[in-house]
Amino acid sequence: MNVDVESLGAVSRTAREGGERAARNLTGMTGIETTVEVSKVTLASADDLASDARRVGVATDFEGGMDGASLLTVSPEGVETLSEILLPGDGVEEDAVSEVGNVVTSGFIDEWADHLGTTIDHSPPRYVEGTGEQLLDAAGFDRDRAFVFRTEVGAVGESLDVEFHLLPDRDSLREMLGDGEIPVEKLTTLKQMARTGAETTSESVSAMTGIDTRVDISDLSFVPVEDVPGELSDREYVGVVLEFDGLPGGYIVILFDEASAREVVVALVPGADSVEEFDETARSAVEELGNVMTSSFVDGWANVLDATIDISTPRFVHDMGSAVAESVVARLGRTQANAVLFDATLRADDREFDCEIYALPDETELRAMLDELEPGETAERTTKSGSL
Amino acid sequence: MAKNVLIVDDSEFMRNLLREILEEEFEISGEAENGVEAVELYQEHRPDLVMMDIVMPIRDGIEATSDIKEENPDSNIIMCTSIGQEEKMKAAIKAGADGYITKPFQKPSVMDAIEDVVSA
Repeated sequence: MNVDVESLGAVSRTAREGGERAARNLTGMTGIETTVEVSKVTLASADDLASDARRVGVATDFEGGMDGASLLTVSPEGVETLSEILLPGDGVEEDAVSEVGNVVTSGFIDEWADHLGTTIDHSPPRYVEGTGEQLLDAAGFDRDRAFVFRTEVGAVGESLDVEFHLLPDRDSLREMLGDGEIPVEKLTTLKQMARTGAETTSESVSAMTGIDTRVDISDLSFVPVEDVPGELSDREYVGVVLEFDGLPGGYIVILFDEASAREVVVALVPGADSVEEFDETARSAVEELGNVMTSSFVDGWANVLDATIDISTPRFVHDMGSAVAESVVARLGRTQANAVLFDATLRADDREFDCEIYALPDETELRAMLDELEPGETAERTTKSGSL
Repeated sequence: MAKNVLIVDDSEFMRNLLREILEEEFEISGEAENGVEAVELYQEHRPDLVMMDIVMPIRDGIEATSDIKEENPDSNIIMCTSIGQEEKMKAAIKAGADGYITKPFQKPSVMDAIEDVVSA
């Protein structure tokens, strides 16, 4: 199956509109103000979707203009919120979730049917609960699907988070996406290379700061350029923006939540017991960490291609996540309408730690890179010392 | 063994870190923030060893290495960089670099890299 980034960006728009329609349905039903927090088309990987956290929800099969399955889930806290609003009383959680699942799923599916100018029939929702893997099995996720449409809807002022996964089958995807130039297998290789880069980055953070980090989430997704800022949270972050130039070129944004940024500065700067302000020394430490992290991330790509990727000096940022992304998108949007977005989250097991990494390659150069790439290649970085 | 070291890195944080690692064993003859300053300070102090970053504004570490080696082929230059790309390493070799160490690093690996270069 071959795809192109433009088609993926176009279906991503429809997925977001479906999310907005579903959010309106949810608001109409519960009276809670809701927003679409995440909406993206990601390259499917059962490992990425199979979280250990337990959730409850509904699975639905659909057929017609598009065939496949969907899975809508809510956290246990969200179930309590829904039960209190919709059906106060004991033992009604299943009914509350099923009701919401039915209405919200319809919002997504209806948008797709309208977009495709056809009808899509869906089965009555089946109540499901369990870990991510159990839920995916319940939804009939066959591990052979190429792309997943993922949307997260959040509530304003209430503990309610709704995750929706649309899992079209391969034939439906082929019809939707047409026949592009990029084999899906190469995207899978790219995703694996990016994952390896994120793991090397995590090792570098651990080595520099002594904070034992791991890659918690890594996604390769396809979104319209103007939607990229929406993928970043509106929390205040501290980090760096770097430009890389080569095959491919693009941007890397590395963001620490403020508490984690203070922690890395204390770990990096000798004699620093606490950080009140991000002064010049603190900024320099964050910039250097970002510099090393970026090299860790892209060096493996360069080595696979026997090429070089030059990295700019880092630009320190301290702002809302979406505002940081706006500055990158303003430049990237001059030459492309859709973006390939790799994002990874680094966390630590023994403390609160949050570092978000976003890589936004130039689409044309990425296509050239994919032409050079052999499926199954792995990215490794030269990390040692010695004489030359 | 080298006695005087010139530290070249655009990051104040990294210059401080390298100074902390090296000053117990060596005299720090100067610190430069870019390749132009590196060449100027090299000419002024003639250090036994240069710890050279690659990515820097104004003039990068590979260009500065080439300039210093042209002037003194016997100089000892260790690329001290976050870049782990094989093609960049080849460019560094071509410019005349004698050794390299990739960030992040700890004191023992820095000392090992210096030992490797000086004893070669």
